[in-house]
Order: sequence, then C-alpha cells, then structure tokens
Amino acid sequence: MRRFLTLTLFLMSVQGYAEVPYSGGATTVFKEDHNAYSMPAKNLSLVSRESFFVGNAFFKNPWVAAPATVSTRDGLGPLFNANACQSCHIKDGRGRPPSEGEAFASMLIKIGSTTAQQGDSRYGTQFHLLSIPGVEAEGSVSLEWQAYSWTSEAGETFHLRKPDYQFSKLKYGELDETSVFSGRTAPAMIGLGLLEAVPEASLLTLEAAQAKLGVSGRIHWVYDKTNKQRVAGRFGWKASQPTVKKQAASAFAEDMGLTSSVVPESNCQPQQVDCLQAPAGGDPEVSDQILDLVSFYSSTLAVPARRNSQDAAIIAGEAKFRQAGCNACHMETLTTGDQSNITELNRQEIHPYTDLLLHDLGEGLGDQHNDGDALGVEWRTAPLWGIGLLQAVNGHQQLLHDGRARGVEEAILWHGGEAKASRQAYLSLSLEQRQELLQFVESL
Amino acid sequence: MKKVFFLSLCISVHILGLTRASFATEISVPSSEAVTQHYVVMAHAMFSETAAAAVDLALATDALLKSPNEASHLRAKNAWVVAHRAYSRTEVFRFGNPNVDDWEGQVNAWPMDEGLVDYVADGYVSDSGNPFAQKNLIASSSSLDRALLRDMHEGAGAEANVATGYHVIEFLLWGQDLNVTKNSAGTRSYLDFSQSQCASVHCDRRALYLKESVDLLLSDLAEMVQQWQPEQGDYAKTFMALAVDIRLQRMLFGLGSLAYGELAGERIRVAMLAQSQEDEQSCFSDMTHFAIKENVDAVADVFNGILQAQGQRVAGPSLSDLLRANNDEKHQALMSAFTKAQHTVDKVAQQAENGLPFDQQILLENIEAYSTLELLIAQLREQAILIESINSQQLAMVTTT
Repeated sequence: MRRFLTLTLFLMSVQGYAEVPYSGGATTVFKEDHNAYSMPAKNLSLVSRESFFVGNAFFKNPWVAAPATVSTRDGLGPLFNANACQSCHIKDGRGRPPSEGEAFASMLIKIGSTTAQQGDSRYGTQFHLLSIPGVEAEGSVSLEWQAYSWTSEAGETFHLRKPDYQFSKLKYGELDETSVFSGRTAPAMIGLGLLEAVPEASLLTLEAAQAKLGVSGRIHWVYDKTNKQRVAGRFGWKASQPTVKKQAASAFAEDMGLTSSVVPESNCQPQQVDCLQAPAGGDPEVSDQILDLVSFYSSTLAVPARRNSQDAAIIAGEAKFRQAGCNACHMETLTTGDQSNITELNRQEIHPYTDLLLHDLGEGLGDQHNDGDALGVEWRTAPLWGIGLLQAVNGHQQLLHDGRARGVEEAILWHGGEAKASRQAYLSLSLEQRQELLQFVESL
Repeated sequence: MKKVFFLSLCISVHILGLTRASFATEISVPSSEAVTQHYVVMAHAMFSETAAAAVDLALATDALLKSPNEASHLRAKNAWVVAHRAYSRTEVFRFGNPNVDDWEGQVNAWPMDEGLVDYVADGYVSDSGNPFAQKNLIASSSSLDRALLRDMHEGAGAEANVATGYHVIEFLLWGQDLNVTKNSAGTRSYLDFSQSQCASVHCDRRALYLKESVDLLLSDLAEMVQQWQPEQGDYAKTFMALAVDIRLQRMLFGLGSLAYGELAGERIRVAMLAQSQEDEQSCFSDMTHFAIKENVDAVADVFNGILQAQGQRVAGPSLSDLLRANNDEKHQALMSAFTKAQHTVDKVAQQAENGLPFDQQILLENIEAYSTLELLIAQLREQAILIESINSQQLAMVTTT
C-alpha cells in the first residue's frame, strides 16, 4: 500500500505539479477569500491549535509603552515602526508601499551605507517613524515614484517605477551622505515553518546543482550565536535569519523595539538619549513563552491550495515557466525533513517556488545595501506559493522588496543579473503565451 | 494505601464498564445517520433561540432609544447579556462547518479598535497600522447605513476594524471599560442616547448606529437559522449530503476546536499570559464569564444530544450514544471530563457574579481565581485530547442494534 502510494506520488510528480494543488503538503488548506493566509495548517492537531490561537493573539494585539499598569504586553519602542505584528503583516499577508498621501504602515526603510559602516551613524540600520509618548520619533519620510522606462533588447519599452525617499523633520541631525535606503514590505506569513523544515543538506545540494544550470544561487550563511555555528539563512528579503524564531525576535527588536532573550539589545542609537532613558517593559520585554508562541503561530500558518491548476492555459503557462528556466531558482518542489519539533511539518512534499538561496538580480534591483554576507544586488528567491491570492487577502499586487512592481509581469521585468536569460525568454514569448505564464503564477 | 485504592478504583470502573457496555447493547444504538440529523436539529434550535434573543434585544434597544433612562438602559444591557449567552452556545458549530466560520466574523468579531465607531478616552490603544483606528464613524459625515457598516467591517484589511456584531452593540451600550473602580465595567450613560439632553455629542447618530447594528445582527441570524433548517436549509442539505464519517468528523472537530484552541487558548490563556484587561471577549460589559460558561456547557450538551432551547427540551441520538457503543472506557473518560470542566466553569462564573470579573480573575495576584482558570484550561485540554482520539470512521460504522 505504502509502495503504491509512493509510486503514485512519483508518477504525479513526473506528469507535472499542475496536478498537485497541495502546495503545502498535508498542511494545505482550501481557502480563497480574505482569510486565505490566516488558517492554521490543515493537519495541525487540536492540542497544537491552542498554541496557534494563543500565538495569533500575541501576533495581532498591540503592545503598549512601559510601564503599563497591568500588562505583560508592554515595552513597545521607544522607537518603532509598528505596535503589532499584524500592523505590517496585515491579515498575515504582504505589506505595501503607502499610496499618495498615506503614512508608511506596512513597509519600512532599512538604511545601508556605501562605506564599510553599518547603516547611518546617527540613525542606525533602520528608520523609525513612530515613538512612544515622551520620546520624539526620528523624523518623517515620504515616497515619490520615479518613472523608469526600460527597453528590452528587442526594442520593447515598458514603463516601470522606482521609489525615491525624502526625509524631513530629522530629529537627530542630518543623515550621512553615504547612507542608502531600501524600502522593505512585510512578506506574507504562510508556510514559514515548512521552509525552516527543509534540511540544510537539501540546500547544499541545490546550491551545487545550480552551478550546472547557469545560475549561481548560494546559501546565505549566518552565524547562530546560540549554537555557535554557521547555519543557512532562510528568512527575510536577504535570507538573513535562519529560523522563524530568530526572524520573529529580530522583527520584535528592530520593528517594534521589543527585546527578547534572542535579541536582548535595545534598538536605540548611542546618541538617542531619551530613547535609552525610557523605561523598559521587563527584561526581556518579550518573554520566552510569548516569543515561542508567536514563533509557533508564524510557523504553522497554512499554505492555501492552488486554484484551477488543471486549466489548459495554466498548464501551458507552467510549461513556459519551466522553459524560461524560472524554476531553476523558483524551485517547484522541496521536501521537509523530520527534525521539526512541530511534527505536522515533517516529511512534507511542498511546492514553495523558492530555493531559499541568494541570487544576483542585477543593479536595477540592487539597493547598495549589504546585509550580512548578502550584497546589495543579491536577493533571496521569493517564494511564489499563495501569490495569486494576494489580491483577495491584501487588495493589492505590489511586488518585490519595496513594492515597486505593479503585478507579476513588472516583477519579472526587474529580474536582471542571473535571471537575465529567463527574463529574455519571457520577452521572447507571444503576448498570449506571456498571459499564460502569468496566469500560471497567479494560480499558485 | 494509595496504590490499593487506585487498583480497587480500576476494578470498579472496569466492572462498571462491563455493566454499562452490556446495558448499552440492550438499548438501541442510534445510527450515525440519525446522530448527524439530530446535530442539524440542534443547530437549528440553538440558532433559532439566538435569533429570538436578538429580537428581544432589538425590542429593548428600541425602547432605550425611544425613552432613554436608567431603567431602559439597564433593560437593553440585560437583553444583550441574554442574547450573547445564546449566541455563545451556538459557537459549537464553528470550526467544523465552513458556513458558520465564514459568517461568524461579522457577528462576533473581537477585539476591536473601538475608536472606529465612537469617541474614546485619552490613552486609547489601537493598532498602529490601522488607518481607521480613530475614524469615529458616529462623529463622521458618512451616512450610517448597513452598506457603510458592512464596508467598514475589517476596513483597510485590519481585523481590529469591527463595525458590526455583538461587540459593537456591547460597546455602544456600555462604553469603554476604563476601570473607574477595579471591578467596574464600561460606564456609558443613557444620556449618550438622549436627543434632548445628549451627554456627549452626536447622540442622534449613536442611536442610529445602534439601531442599524442590531438590525444587521437580526438579519445575519435569520440567515443562519435558514441555513440549518432541517431538510430545507442550504447548509443542512450540504452537510447531510456529505459522507457520514465526514459529518461526524466535522462535528467532533468543531467541538474540540472550540473547547481547547478557541476557549482555553484564545479566550482564557491569552488574557492570563498578557495580564491585560483588553484581552477578554466581552471587555466593555465584563460579561466574559458567561460566554466562557456557555461555550463549556454547549460542548457537552451537543455531544450528549440534549439541550434546552427557548424553554423546550431538544433531545435525540448523539455522539455520546455512538461512543458508548464503540468504546465505553473512552466514553466514561469524556463524560467525566465534561462534568469536571462544567463544575470548574460554574466556579468561574460564580466568582464573577460575586464581584470578581474575569478581567480580575486573570491577574496573578488573585491566586485562587487564577488557579481555577488554570484548572479549567487543563480540563479542556483533556477534553480535546479525548475528542481528537475518537475515530469518526469507527463511529460511522457503529451498527444499529
């Protein structure tokens, strides 16, 4: 029986993944509405669901300034970008750049430097727009889109846009001349635990295999302080964090100003005296128990199933996606190991459409912002699973790290560097074939 | 001594088990088909009761708006409590049934950024990413009709934008719970609805908002009653068309999910961990203990197939009957788990009625109340583990004798 099942699965995978709508293996849910990213993994046990629901509440509810009379959920800031995880990961989904006249909400600005320095000498590596009462925020920022016309080798012109950030009311002095800015939208929360559960050995194999495919993805090795060893980075736009828990702790610290045992340092800069002097909300501010619950929640959000994977146009689009070599990096299938403490995530065949590796995507997309070992032109292959439901969940389709791409096609057009040949292959398709490829991506 | 006692207990349970099992074969075991049919009957009865209680709420709020005074205000608040208690019982139909899950958000969403709806005090905390957190619809110039309320609900994608449902009505009746005294709930005055002596501003629009939101609730509930109408309702038909083991699975999954993940987790443990008064379901009225009690009781009632709705006894073939025939030992364990949790939740409710509301029971300093809640969580966990261990396919195959 078991052998028969394996054989069937094997045959199905040979025939094509279009027949397998279960993007997240047994965790997959069939949900297409605004809650499509917010469901617990389908196979999550009733007992585990309790941790999921409790974690969800701490993901959703706002933190407050310390000292709050009665609340363990205090210690926000003093400088911060959001007071709740959900403020940026709206409906567990993807953030976006502000529309005209809107404040920055689900996108923040990282600061890099063209020198060897870490970020800005006064503002550090991230600009904080909000602050608790009694502490002044770092300043204001506005976004203006610059029109950017791009012409392909075949002479086809596309009208794209690039962000330009203007800072004002700077509270701690001017920004360094050498500082560079990179907008970062909050990524969707689905399937993260599955990505963590892919064995490091699989990533090493992928890395080795890609050398032969004309692309050169590489693992972003990061140092794991807890276990004193180098580990593969997997999360964030630059794959800077190795685990969901570390990613959650770093978001608590950098985006919300909340310390934890994983990131015990405050996000105040040395000359931000009022920030340094503001009361803390406990030591650490996020207890291990709450960090674990939020990490559990963030690890177990289900991946929604594909839609219409059997439509002829979508099957045709899938073939084009492969012919263009998109799947060299947007890997269709990975298999999780059996090491996760969350047993529901183990031994799952998943279809994330990422290899979790860093790739050089060219100067056009580069942000001159080195992050750990990742260079400005290097980006982690973004997972594509669930991307077709972004409109239903978040009501927009602004893609790439800073939301500059208005839809899938523009995102493809921004792919330079290692992905240049694939972009070329896309552009060599007829308009109808391009539509099919886009429809395929939208079916994920 | 302890060991001996334990052994004798085992033996007596075992003997009791045998007797019960042989007794069970003598009485008729219902078909799993009949058990699922009765589940639909119970859902219909419970949603009907909830709809009727909402009609009483509508009458009471109409009376409040017509002549706002202490008595009419109190009557409206009491009607809300009764209405929400009835609703809380129907939550056993969540999680397993997609129609209820897709619908419940517009009826019972919480927590809310109440600044969306009405004025709030200084120091009000809301989601920094929510552009509507201080929109104050009542003070705005938007026309307060159903379409607007529906539109604003989860407006800008933020879940904290709760514009419809029980907790909006609760907020309108009670106001923010600012803990004027330690044990007090929201202290909104009836004059907030008075057109002649309006205590704040926009009393006319507040009255309109209350009326519209109660009307929306009535129509939402009417829809759910229709959906569960045995043999006729849309969902009743969909549900009964499923394979019988899938129906049983939905029933069990819903009961287990409500008891542990939702109730023990999101509704009790979150508040205890956060030590925050914002983290209770009915935070304006401090009536959370009733919702907790009704959840616990309804899980047991629906499993046992016996309940009271609108003063009538509704009884029929149940999951309990099937489990008893299938696995008597597990059945006894679950019955005892139900009894224990019901006993504990009665204590929680009693403590609240005696002046220690749920948002005080969660505080570490209230050692006894806090440990009672911990006990309840442990008992609900035990329930969930037992419910999860029931194999719906085996239950479906329990034969009629």
